[in-house]
Amino acid sequence: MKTTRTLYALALLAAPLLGTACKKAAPPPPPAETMAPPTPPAQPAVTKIELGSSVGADKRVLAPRSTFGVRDSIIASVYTENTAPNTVLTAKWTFQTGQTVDSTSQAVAASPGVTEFHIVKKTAWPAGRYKVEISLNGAPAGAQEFDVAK
Amino acid sequence: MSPKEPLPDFSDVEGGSSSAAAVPGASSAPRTYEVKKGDSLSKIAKHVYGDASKWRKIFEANGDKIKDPDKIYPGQVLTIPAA
Repeated sequence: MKTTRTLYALALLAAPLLGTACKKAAPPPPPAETMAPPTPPAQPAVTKIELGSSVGADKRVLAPRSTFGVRDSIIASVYTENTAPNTVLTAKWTFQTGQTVDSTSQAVAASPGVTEFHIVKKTAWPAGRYKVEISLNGAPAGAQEFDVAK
Repeated sequence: MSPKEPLPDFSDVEGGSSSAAAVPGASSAPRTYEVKKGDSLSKIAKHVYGDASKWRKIFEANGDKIKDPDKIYPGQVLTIPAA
């Protein structure tokens, strides 16, 4: 009787252990979902610079060209994308001697947007090669050269 | 030693700027010019191309609007072909 009771007690004790041993191994946890790296916000950019002597209401130069007369107005249409409301464009106009002709800054109205910069001279432009350099929030963003011919 | 040429004077240059939203699809759309009082085709050609003799280019691009190249009217919107 005593032996039977002892065996019974042992069986009771071993039961949980046997259960554990027979249990099917738990499946490995599913791999954690891989997250795509967050897309960095698109960088503001100047996509095109066009030069001409007249612009439409949309600020686009009517007939792009790169040679001007000594009495012409000179206009640069600067096309931008991904700009924030506080983005500032600057146009620096220089002559072949390195002299600064003019420098003007303008907040960009919208994205995408077109911003026109113009220069006029009361007397004739000196003939030669000029350059307009565009910077976006102070960083160089593009440049275009043009000629003034007599 | 040759005398140095004086640097040109740019003190009478006036600069300015303005900005607008880009119109979707506008980059491929034809460009237009609204005729103002006192305009002529050669004056417009001089203004947009820097060459008055290119007036015929504008005339030909606007055959549906201009019958006589000497008669254009304020408010008319002309197509400006690429230079």
